[in-house]
Amino acid sequence: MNTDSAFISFINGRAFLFEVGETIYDYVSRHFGQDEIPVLCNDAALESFGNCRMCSVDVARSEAGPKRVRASCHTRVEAGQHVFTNTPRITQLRRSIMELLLSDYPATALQPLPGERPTPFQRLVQQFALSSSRFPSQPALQEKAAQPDHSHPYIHFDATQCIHCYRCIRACDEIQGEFVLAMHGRGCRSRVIASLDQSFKDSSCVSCGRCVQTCPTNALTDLHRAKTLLADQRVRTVCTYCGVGCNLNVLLKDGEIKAIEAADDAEVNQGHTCLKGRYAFAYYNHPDRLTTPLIRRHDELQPATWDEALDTIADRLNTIKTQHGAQAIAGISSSRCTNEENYLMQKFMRVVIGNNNIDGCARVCHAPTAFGMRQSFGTGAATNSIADLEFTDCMLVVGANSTEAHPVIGARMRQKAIKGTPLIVIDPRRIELARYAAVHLQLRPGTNVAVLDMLVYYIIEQGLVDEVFVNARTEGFAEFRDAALKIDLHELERVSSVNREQARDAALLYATAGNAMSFHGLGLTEHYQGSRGVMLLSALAMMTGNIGRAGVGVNPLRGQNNVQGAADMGVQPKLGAGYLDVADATVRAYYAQHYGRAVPAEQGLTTPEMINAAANGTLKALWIMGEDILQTDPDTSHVRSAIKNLGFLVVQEIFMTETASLADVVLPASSHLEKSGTFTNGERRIQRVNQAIPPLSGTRPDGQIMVDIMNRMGYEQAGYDAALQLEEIANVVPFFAGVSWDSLGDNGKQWPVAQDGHDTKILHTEQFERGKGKFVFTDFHETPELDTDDLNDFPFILTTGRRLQHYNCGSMTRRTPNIDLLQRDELLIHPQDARHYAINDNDKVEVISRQGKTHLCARLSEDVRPGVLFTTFHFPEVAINQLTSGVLDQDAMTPEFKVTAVAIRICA
Amino acid sequence: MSKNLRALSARHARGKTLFQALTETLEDTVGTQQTRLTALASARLVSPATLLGSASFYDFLYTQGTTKRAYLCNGTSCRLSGKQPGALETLSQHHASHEIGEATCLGHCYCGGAYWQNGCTYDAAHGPGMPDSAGDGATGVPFFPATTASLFADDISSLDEFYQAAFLSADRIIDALSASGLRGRGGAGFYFADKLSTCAGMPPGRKYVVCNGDEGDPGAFSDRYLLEQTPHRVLMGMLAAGLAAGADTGYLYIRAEYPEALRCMAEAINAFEATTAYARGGFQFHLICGAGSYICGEETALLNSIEGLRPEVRVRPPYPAQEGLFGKPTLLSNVETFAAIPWILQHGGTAFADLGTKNSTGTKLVCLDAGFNKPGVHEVEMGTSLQTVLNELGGGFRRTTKAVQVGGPLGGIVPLEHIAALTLDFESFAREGFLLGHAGIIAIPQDFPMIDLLRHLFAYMASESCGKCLPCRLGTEKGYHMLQQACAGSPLDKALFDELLDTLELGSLCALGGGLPLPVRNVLQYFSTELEEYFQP
Repeated sequence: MNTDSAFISFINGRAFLFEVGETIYDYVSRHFGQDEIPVLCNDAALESFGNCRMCSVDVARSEAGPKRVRASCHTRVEAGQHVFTNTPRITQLRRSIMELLLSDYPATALQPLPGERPTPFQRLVQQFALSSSRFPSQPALQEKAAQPDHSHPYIHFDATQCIHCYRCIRACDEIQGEFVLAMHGRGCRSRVIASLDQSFKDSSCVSCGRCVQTCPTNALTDLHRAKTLLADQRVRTVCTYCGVGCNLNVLLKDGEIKAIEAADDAEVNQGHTCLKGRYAFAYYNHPDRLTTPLIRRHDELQPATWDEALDTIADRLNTIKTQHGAQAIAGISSSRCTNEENYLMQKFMRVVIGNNNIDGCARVCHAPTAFGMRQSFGTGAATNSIADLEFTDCMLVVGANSTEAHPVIGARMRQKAIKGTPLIVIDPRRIELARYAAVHLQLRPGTNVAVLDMLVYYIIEQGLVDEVFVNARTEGFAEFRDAALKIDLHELERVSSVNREQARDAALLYATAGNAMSFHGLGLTEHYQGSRGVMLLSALAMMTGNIGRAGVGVNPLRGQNNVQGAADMGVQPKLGAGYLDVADATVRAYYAQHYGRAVPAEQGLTTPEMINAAANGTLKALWIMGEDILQTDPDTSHVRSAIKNLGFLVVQEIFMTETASLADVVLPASSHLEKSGTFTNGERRIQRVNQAIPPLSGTRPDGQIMVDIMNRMGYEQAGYDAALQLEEIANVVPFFAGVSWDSLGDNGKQWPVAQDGHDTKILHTEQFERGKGKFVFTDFHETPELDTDDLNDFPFILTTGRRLQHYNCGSMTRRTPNIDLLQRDELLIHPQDARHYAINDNDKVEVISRQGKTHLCARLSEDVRPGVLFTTFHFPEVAINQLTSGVLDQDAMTPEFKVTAVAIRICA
Repeated sequence: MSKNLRALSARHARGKTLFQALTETLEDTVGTQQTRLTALASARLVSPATLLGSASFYDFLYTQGTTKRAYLCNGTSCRLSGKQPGALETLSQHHASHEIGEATCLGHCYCGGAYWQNGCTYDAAHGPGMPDSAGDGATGVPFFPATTASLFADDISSLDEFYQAAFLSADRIIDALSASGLRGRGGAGFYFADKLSTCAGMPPGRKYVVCNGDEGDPGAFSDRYLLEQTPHRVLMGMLAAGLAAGADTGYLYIRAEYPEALRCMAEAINAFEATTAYARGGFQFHLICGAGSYICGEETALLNSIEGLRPEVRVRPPYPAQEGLFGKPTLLSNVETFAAIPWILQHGGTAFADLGTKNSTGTKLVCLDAGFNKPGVHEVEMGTSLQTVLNELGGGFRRTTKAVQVGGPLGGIVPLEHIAALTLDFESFAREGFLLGHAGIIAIPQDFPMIDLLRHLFAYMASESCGKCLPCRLGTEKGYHMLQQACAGSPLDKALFDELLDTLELGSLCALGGGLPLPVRNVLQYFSTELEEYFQP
């Protein structure tokens, strides 16, 4: 800090250093603490607003000079200035403002409710020792506010306790970017409204709860009364609802989880989170939780002891292994579980069972990202960090509906886009972000490669290639360029429905922005040419030099909390923990040295291959950790018959699912709130998950289950302890070298973490992991799903995605009050198509594909184009994957969830 | 307040502004208001709540609805004139009572009894069908030019020639305005050349010039005069200063209470667009019609209003010259300030500085209300004694008078015995504890109870407070309520009332709440005897 006298001012006569641009409030608080100057409208997460005037102070040019009253929250410190925080007139002013507020304030709300903490406002009431106001009360002013709004399942609003600090309105605007709240009317008749003066439930509120968190009174509260809860313990953990990895504080009282808050000091989410992270935790002690192992006896799942269950498993697996060989057994691990648990699962398959038949749910989402980026860069992970959004000049979002699926990142992208950072959206739907986009390429589902080819073409054609970067850092560009210039623009326009002018606009924006950053989701990966799309996106970054510094790069948005981590831990058949190729003998020797047993060389099976192998009878046993493949994998009837054909199915789950109901042994697992470990978020950040409560009676953490079975089958593995397990991983996985439980701290570390503990915010700064970045051009090829002769019978393309309120198969969120916010999957259909079929809103529609059929309620929407239908897969009664096909990404074997040829029929 | 909403609004900065679109949406009758607001929100990427929040701020869009057929002026002069009942009676002959709203003020303070009907304003002397009615409702504000040198009296013979001077180099324009010592005529008296230099000195990029024609102070009608009678001076001033600042777009915000001014300016802009100056290209005027809110005359509220945001006062800094309309550097001043610029460019800054006093140069338009024998707009050289203005130019009071209020509802209440000490300039008023403000002067008759004046001031400010800052939102209302109680037999606690005034003065975010204590304290000080009965002993 500069100690120059130019940076000295005075607080109550004493000299203190100030920082340039600092407000008087920040200056005084930094030296005297937060309580020196009272505030109501100020919140560090929001811009200064200056409306409560409680923070007023006296300032003067000299100690005895004339004083002027200034609101300290929005007045900057000037050199040599004298600040007086508590002159008599300032004290009187603050007291008077408090009394004005109190004059019409409900007397019962001045003190905290019994057993609760005071709100910031109540603390000030106490501080000023106020119990009433000298100003006359005017009950008429509170008339409009009299009815509290309890319509919303989580958020409650009592306008009588509102002090008009605007913090809720500002949070909704400046953090969430939703503008649901506004002030209505003017003067003393003004009041906070939601949407068009509607109830919270009927408003467009997305329930992020940020308004409740910032409200300094109990005007806005939530179901859990998190703000005023007298918690006796706060446990920091990481959310499991997406790959953003929000840090949460779990508030406990008497050993029970009472509420969850977003951690204010979290680097990832900076005090923000979404309704799933903040509110949707009631599933954890839902009566539906599995609390005892189940064994199938007489074709019925019956309760059993853990010993019986584990013995049964060990027996059956040993028998199958003896009779059919290790290859007849496979395991599917879970991206919902911790790194440590995933590591144990793959280790179990590789060294205890003795094969490489290990795969995870990344197969059905981001395997093409891992594969494609590995081909291009050498590392299948986000090149940059979430925080880089601050430094980017252009955002390219491909096939990712981040405001619903990754709400905290989505909110930040929206903030950027609203303020003018150019945004390019490539998505078949007019998603929320597309509203703010400079260019929205609303392509026909399945044509990402066609559109990206056009972008590549125009960057070359317009002479916007960063030749210096390309020459110094990459290889294969000449062939890439030659191939790219040969594309048939007319044909690509036709197949993609994106015209060349728009494609050129997007290409120009991206290539000339300065720092351009791309984000992609499953709309890019879950396709016949999924991996190829990822490689083209990587090529876009390389050819424009958008790699290796802040605000650029290629950044997959991970759907599950630990997709990155599961892959890192070796949950895939080809690559073991740390992405070492098990086909390589030296790698196998390396693993053997660490595991104390040989690792097999034979090629393992991916999930779709496991299902096929089960169907054709070569796979006899399958172990699934926390995944409901009947609901989430494509072509349900095929999956069902495959599973039924298995000799033995083990499922670890927290709830009975469609898949678990077919198992031979069901093992009741603990939820993430009941165990410790680490998750790795979408920006490679390894973060600690801390156990908040002991495992629900009868359940065991997935990691402990793996340890139990390993020991039972003759491999000595120490009891599940997150820190010790992480130590083992750090010894095996090269880029975890410097990771230890203690050193991760509250905010975790981004891999690679060097031995000395230094982590990595940005990859490929000097050179790519594979040396030179590799350009791979791919021509567009129509998916076999649509390249058929019977398209007249299936004239629509059905594509799927998520909604904000629910997570994946919904097994958790459907067991929370989120169900009150969204009760069903809906079929989005363009009004023009709807008219043709005489379909109205809420009409029941039968959707038929070559694989199967289901029923959905229609919602007319211009967010989809004519000929395209959209729905979600949160509800088992719809079971949308009965329709999806067996088409796979040609490189990573990820199912093409995003394109299914269907027909529709209105139900009578 | 919201950078996001400002950025979204700015996406349509050069077309129909969000505020204009909102006004049209609310006045539209197709479908329900809800569906219209939702559609507009969707088109402009904002939320329905944002729009309803903005709309609900304005009298003519929401509070009184959009269906009133007539408005009765509720300004101070109209109240004091005793002609309100007559005006209401006239209106009641044509309209049901629910069709008659209130407006404050229509700028007919020189006569009183003003009302608005079918897009025209009238008063007690000039109603429809009255002998001297102009037919279209334009009554013609009485104007008395300065006898020494008048800035506004000359005829403009050729618009093409008139606008030429706007294309002088920026340096020459800034130099001339700097030499002139011209200070903002809206009330604050800020040196215009300083604003202009700040704005011109901001990094190149989009900049705006905004003319504040929201002359909301009851008792003031000089801007109305200028807008209606010499609109090209206003445009020319905006153009010259705007070009010098680096702006290419001018917004002229005129209150809805001035329909004639709006029409005159619209015609003037059309005429401008037929000149060679316009043909040189590069400058566009936009005319914005207000919607009934006094606070929109506060410069930052006015900017928010144009943007379609709630016209709540912004914290300063940043000042408009740094970060104004749509977040861009904006040169913002009052009608009279801009209207003075052509004369300065024609005669030179020094000639202007030669008029008036050292620190208050030039002439000032003074409005004398119907309480004077010669009411109207009087152009007065700065530094003229108030005595001269009131008694000689104004011809003295029409009835027995005990005080004058100078500078609008937030201006000081000057008892007769203090008039002699005042000259018409910024310094003299500040020194004596009053405020020159916009220099509208209202004569308060001897028989008008000061307690009623206080109640009127508090009621008006409570109703016009934007509600953003707590002291003003609550203080104005509580003050009004306390006065009401005093009138109902519960005398005021003087100490508590004083504390309330302190709170308003020290705590308020802008001059609305912060300025109210000045006239109130003047009254308490100079008319304490009259008010004795309302205070606890």
